[in-house]
Amino acid sequence: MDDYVVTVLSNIGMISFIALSAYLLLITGEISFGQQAYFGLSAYAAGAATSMFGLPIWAAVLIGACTAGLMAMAVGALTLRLSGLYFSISTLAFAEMMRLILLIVEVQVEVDGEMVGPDGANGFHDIRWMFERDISLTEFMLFIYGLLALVLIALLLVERSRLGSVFRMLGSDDLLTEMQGLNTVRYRILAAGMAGAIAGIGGALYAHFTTYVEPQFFNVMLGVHALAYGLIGGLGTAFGPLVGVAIDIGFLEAVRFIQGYRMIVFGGLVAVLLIFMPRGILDEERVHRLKALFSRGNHARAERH
Amino acid sequence: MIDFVQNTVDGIMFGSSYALLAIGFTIVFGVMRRINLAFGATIMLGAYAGTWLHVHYQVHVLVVVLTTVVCTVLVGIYVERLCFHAVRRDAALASMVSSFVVWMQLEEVAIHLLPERTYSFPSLIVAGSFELGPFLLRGEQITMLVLAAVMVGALHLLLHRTRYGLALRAISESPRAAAYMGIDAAWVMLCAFALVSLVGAVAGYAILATDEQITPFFGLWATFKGLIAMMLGGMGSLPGAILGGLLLGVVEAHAQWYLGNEYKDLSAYVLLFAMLVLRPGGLLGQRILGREELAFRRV
Amino acid sequence: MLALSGIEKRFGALTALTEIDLEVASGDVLGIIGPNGSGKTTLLNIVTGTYAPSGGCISFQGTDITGWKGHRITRLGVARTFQNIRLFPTMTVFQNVWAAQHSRVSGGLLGLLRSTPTRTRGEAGRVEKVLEQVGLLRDREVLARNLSLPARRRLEVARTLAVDAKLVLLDEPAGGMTPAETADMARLIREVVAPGRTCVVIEHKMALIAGVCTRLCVLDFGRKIAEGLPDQVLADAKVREIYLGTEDGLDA
Repeated sequence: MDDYVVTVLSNIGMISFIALSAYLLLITGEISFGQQAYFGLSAYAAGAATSMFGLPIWAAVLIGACTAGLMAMAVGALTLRLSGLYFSISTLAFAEMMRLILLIVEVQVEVDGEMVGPDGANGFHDIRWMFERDISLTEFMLFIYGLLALVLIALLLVERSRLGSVFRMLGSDDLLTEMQGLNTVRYRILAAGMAGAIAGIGGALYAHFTTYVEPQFFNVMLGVHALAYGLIGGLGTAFGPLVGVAIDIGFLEAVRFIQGYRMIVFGGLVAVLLIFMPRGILDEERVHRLKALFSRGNHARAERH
Repeated sequence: MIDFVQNTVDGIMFGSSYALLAIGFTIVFGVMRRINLAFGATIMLGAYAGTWLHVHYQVHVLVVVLTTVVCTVLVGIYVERLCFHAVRRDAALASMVSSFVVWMQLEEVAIHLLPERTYSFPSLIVAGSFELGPFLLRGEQITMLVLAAVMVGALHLLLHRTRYGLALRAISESPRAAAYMGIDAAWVMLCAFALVSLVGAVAGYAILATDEQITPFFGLWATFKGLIAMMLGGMGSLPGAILGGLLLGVVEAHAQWYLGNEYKDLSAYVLLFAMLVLRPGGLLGQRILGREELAFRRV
Repeated sequence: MLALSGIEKRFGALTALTEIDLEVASGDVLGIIGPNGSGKTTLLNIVTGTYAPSGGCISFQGTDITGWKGHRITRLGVARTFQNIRLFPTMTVFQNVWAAQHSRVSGGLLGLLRSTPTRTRGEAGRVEKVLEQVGLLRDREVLARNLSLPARRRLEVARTLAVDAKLVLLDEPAGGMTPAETADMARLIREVVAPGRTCVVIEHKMALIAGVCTRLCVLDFGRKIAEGLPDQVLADAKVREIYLGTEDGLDA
C-alpha cells in the first residue's frame, strides 16, 4: 500500500474513536459538540508521556485515555444539571476553553539536548516515538485498527449488557430510569467518562501518528464531524458511527469531483438526513428489524436440521 | 483608574455589537425554543456577496450595503426552511445539529466566492476619533452604540406595538394556543427569521465596516459572540441580550488589557461555562427547569 | 406500611396539597379518588420522591424516607405506573421488563456488565413469567411504541411485578380504556398485583374502584375529605356532592 492510502485509512481509524465517543453520549441522550477537547487533551498527555518522559506507547495510550476520561467525568459532574441545548452549548464552551488554554500552555523540558513539550500556539512538536522505534506507517495503522477493534467489541458487549440498557434508558426517559431504582447521576458521569476515554485513545494515537499536534486541529469542526458521523450512521448500534465515517471519508474522499465542495455536499447530506431520519440510518427500529430477520433465519435453519 | 474606565468604555462600545448579534439568537430562541448556530455564517455569506461585488466591480458602497442585507435575508430564509421548518417539531436538537452542518456549508460557499484570507470591506461613513477629557472615543464605535440603541428601540416597538409582534409573542408563550387563535406559526417564524437576518446583516455590516476587513472567520466569531452574549443575559430575553452583550464586551476588554491578547477569547468561554454551571438560565432569564421537572413536562 | 403525616406541597403560590395524613396498612388496596386537579398524582409523586414535599413527613415500613431521591425509594420496594404511560419506546416489551430489574443486580458495575439476558437463564425466565401473567408473552419482541394502549398499560403493570415491589402505585391504570378492557385490568389487579402486595390506585372509573379497592380516600382541592371502606365513603353525602355534583347514582 502506498503512504497516501495508509494515511487516509489511519485517519479514518483515528476519527472513528471520536465518532464512537460522540455516539456513546448520543445514546444516553446528550448531544456533545465538545468531544474533540478530550481527543486533544489526550494527544498532549500521551505525547508528553513518550517524548518528555520516555514511557512506552501502551502507557502513553493509557495515560491519555485516563486523563481524558477523568477530565470528562469532572466536566460531566459540573454540567449534570444541564440538559438539551444547555448541555450542548456547555460542551462547546468547554472545548473552546480547552483549545485556547492549550494555545497558552508552554511546558518544555530538555531531552537529549533539545527542548521538547507543548509550546503554546506553535503546538507540540517532535513526538518521535515512531521514528525512534523505526515503526512503519503500515504497522502503526494495524495498531490503530487493533485498538479500534478492541473498543468496538467492548462497546458491543456493553450494549448487550444491562449497562448498555441503562444508557439507552437514560437517553429515552430520565425520570423513568430513576423510577427503576437507578442512580442516574452515577450513570451519566460514567457515560461521560467512558466517552472521554474513547476519544482519548484516538487522540493518543493521533499524536504519535502525526508526530506533532497543535491546538488548532481540535477545533469545533472536528467535534461537528464526530457528532455528524454518529447521527448519520444511526443510534441503533455501535456500528453506526463507523458507517458514518465510511460514508464521509470513504465515499466523499473517493469521489474526485466533490473535492473542494466537500463541506457543501456533506452539510447538505446531513441536513436532509436529519429531516427524514432524525436518528440516523441504523436507528433502533431498523436495528431491531435486522436482528429479528437474523434470528428468524437462525430458527428456520435450526428447524431444517 | 483611567485605564479601567477607558477599558470599560471600550468594552461597552464593543459590547453593543455583541448585543446586536445576541438579539438575533434571542428572538429565534424566544419564538422557537431552538438555537440557530448558522446565524453567523448567514451574515458572513451575505457580507461576502456584498464584498464580491465590491472587489470585482468596484460598486458604490450603498450597493454593497444593500446586497449584504438582501443576501443575508435570503440565506436566512434558506436556513429556516432547511433546518427549522422541515425538521420535526419535537426535535429541537436535530435543528441545532442541522444548523451546525449548514454553517459549514455556508462557510465553504463563501470561501469559493472569495478564496483569499482577507478582503478590505468598504465603510459607509468615515468618522474620526476624538478625546473627551482623558478618554479616547472612536467615531465608529459611537456609531455602533447609537445603531444598537436605535435597533433595539425599533424592535421593542415592533414586538409591543404591532399585530405581528403580538403574534410573535403569542407563539413564544404557547405555540398551540396561538395556533388555536388562528395564527399561522410557519409564516410568523419565516418572517422572524427574515427579521433576525435583517438585524444581523445591519449589525454585521457595522462591525465589518469598523474592522475595514472581512475574513472567513467572521461566521464563527459572530455566532460565538452572539451566542455567549445571549446565554449570559438569559435565553429569549431582549433586555438580557443587551446586558449580556455589554457584559461580554466589558469582560473581554479588561481581560485583554490586564492579562494579554490570548486571554480575550478565553475569558469569554470561561465566563460562559461558569455561567452555565452556576446559573444556567443567564442573568435575566428564567431559572431553567431541572431534569426531573423537565422530564415531567415533556409528556 | 406507608404513613404520610401532615404532607404539604406548594408550587409557587399554588398549594397543591394541604395537611394530608394517610396510612396504608400492609395488604390494603387503597383507592384515591377526586376531581381533576385535586392533587392525586402530586401525592404519588411525593411518595416516589419525584417531588420533595414542602412540609410533613413520609415513612415506609418504619423508615423515614422524606426527601429521599427517587431511585433510593424505588429500591426499598416502591414501584409505580404513570397516568400518561411511560415506557422506553424503542426497547422491546422484554427489554422494558428486564430494565426494571437492573437495580436489583448485585455486584455493582461488574454485575451490570456481566449479565445479559441470553447468558443468565434464570433472569429471562423471570421476565417471561411476568409477561405471561399480564398476557404479553406473545408480544415479547415487539417494540413498546408499537403496542396498543391497553397492552402498554399492562406492560407498565408488568414492570412493577418484575421487581417484587412491596408497594405498588397505579396511576389511572384503566385510563382511556373501554369497559371490557377496564374489567380485564380490574381482574389483573385483583388476581395478580394485589395478592402479596400493598397497592394504591388512582382511578376515575367506578367499575375498577369498586372491583379492587379495600379502602377509599377522597381528595378535593388538595385536602383529604373522606376516608374509609368503599361503601361508606361512596355513600357520604359530601363526597357525592363534590365528586358528582348531583344526587344521581354513583354507579352510573
